Amino acid sequence: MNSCTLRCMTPAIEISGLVKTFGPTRALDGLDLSVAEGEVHGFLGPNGAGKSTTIRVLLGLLRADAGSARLLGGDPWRDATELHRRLAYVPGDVTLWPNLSGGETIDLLGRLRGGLEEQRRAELLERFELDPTKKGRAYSKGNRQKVALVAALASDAELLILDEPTSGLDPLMEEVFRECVADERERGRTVLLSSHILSEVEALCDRVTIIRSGRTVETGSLDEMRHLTRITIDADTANGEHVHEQVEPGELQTVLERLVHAGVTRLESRPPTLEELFLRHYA
Amino acid sequence: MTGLRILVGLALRRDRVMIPAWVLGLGAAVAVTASSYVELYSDAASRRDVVATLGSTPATLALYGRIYDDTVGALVAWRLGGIALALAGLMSILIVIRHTRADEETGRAELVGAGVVGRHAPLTAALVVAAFADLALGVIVALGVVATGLGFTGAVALGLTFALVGFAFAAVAAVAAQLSESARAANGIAVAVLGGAFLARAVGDAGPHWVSWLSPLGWGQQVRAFAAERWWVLLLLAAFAVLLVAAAVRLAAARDLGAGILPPRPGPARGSLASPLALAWRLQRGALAGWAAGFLILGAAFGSIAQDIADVIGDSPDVIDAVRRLGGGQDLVDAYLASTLQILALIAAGYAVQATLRLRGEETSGRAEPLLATPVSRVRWALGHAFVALAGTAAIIAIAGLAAGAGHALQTGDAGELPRVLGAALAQVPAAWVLAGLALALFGLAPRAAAGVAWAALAACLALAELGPVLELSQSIIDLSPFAQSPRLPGGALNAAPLWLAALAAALAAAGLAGLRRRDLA
Repeated sequence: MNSCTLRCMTPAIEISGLVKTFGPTRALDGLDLSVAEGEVHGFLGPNGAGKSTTIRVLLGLLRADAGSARLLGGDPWRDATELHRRLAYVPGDVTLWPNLSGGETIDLLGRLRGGLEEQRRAELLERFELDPTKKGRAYSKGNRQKVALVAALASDAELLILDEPTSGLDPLMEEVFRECVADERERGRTVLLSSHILSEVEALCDRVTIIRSGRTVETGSLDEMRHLTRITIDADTANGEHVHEQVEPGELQTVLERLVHAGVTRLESRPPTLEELFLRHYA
Repeated sequence: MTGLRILVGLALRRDRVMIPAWVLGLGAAVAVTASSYVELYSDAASRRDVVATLGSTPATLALYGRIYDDTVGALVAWRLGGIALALAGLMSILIVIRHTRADEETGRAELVGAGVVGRHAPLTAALVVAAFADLALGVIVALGVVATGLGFTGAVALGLTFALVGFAFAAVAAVAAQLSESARAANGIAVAVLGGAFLARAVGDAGPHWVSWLSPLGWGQQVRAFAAERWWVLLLLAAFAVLLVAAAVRLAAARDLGAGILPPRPGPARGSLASPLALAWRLQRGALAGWAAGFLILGAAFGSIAQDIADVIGDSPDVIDAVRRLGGGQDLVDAYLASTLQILALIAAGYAVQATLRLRGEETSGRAEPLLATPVSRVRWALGHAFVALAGTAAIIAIAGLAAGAGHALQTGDAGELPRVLGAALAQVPAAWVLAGLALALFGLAPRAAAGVAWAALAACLALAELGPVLELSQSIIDLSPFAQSPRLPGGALNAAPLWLAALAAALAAAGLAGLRRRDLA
């Protein structure tokens, strides 16, 4: 168990039975999500599962049709302006004003949120190797993403809502991003991290919620999820047979006995990766 | 040139509304001008009068050019050779930039360029589409003129002039598209060349004539349709276009996709914007400056010809009647000024709608989202742009009023005309505000339909003002336009309309803001 258990008393985000329809499409179909204060929570799902729609409801940009959503103790639709003082947001697809420089955009968003931490702004620009004098139209996708990240991370928010924040970043910058999120956790901030990149979620998140077609299919800590799922066994036996199976925790005893009986020459076993957990729900 | 056919098809599909609207709109304006001139100047004496006065007044020479014969056809060609011809150039510029630099800036060109498409195919496709639009415009102009019974040869010359001047500016735009990384800047460069061409022609026609030979718009007039046509000048236009297209192709080959020949200028590393209003002003100030410059020139031009116009049309009862119906005043000069100010207010409403609809653009492009994720409320965000739209509309109308008043005061030697014309202009502001209010109401309540309906409403107001009296529509229909409610100043009686129009605009805006608070954002 991690440090979260002690602090996770009050939820920063509490969503239950959330429904949002766009014409005939049911984008959210009874979604549940609970993010505790101080945790880094992974929000997983394939394209079109409803991750961005959920986030847009949390930001008060969309009004839910049914269900309840609470954000930092308030109503995300009614109290949007007040709640936004306490959160920072990074969209998945950042569009910037073409004729404003990156620095101007960072400062604008920071000031509207009530001020930036100067030192942190300078430090983040350096860590992300971002040139703030370029105009919005001149940035590549990754650099546009960095502008939004610097603006959000340099703010003094309690809650960070990050919607696929690393799309377009190179592996080096992704590493910088991971360090930054780790720093945020140290500082006691809550992070909702929507992502496709499972290794990122695995490395950063205390707990994850996996959604599909607007519904929550699994939620919990990675350890808990692993306990409930199959273990991969990879072994060679004395008679030259190669064994590769996925085994339910309850069957482990039987399988191992069978292997021992056959004479094991090599044995590897590992818990399921997040990728396997993830694929189990979508395969 | 691989893929050219597909790209041309794609561009025509994307422009299926824009090109017909431009071509038919300009074509209709040409046809209406031609038919009204045929009616108004049917007798030779009135035509000689026009030539003797308007054909020798510096202000009208600058605005429309010289008159080369006293036939009806020559007068039509003269009247269209000023602004309508420049609009043909503007249409071509917008088409070419839209399919070249704008696509590169958004990254669409990259997607296309990675396909089986020749390096120069996108530029060629844009020019082909512009040429197609110019040709269609030329044909419609020629047909519109022939339909009024004017000579076939002159009509062909005028149609060819429109088509070739249009294409010459398509070629200008092709070069401009290579220079800057931004579509907005490319449009700006090409439109500045168009403005320069207009200015050179104006100076040359009002003063030393050789100057107008520096301008493609001047060449268009030198074709002299309906006045012993000089066909060889058309070759000059064609040669100019070919030369510029060749230059554009050379420049395109010398640069990377997405890059410009001019290096991009870096911006400041720190920003000082701290409110939605400051951001709205920053985003909209460039466009407003352009409108203000245009209104300054238009106001000065119309104001300084007011006195001459009255002298000329003072002899033609038909024209007096027409102007009075539009302007409504007793004094002819006042009636002319009032009708001109009403038209300027209608054009200013175009700014009002455009500036208000910027909100929708910010919303659909996703730029509003990070802004609204800060403690900025939707209403405060919308008010920033609405304020720029309303104040900007008032400012450009005031600038036009000031310029017109100053021009008129200089001509009459009566300084009192300046505040009188300015006041008359300001009385038109609330009517333009109603259109901004309508656009805001639509943005809040029916965002998907906002752009279409708002522009359609403006087009309806224009049509009622310009064609209503000609078609002899009943007054109750014409009165549906807020512009018909405004007092006809100077000269007419002041009424309470500006007050209740302003109240109506405010009510529409309030409805829009209430709708915006309740709806989902894109």
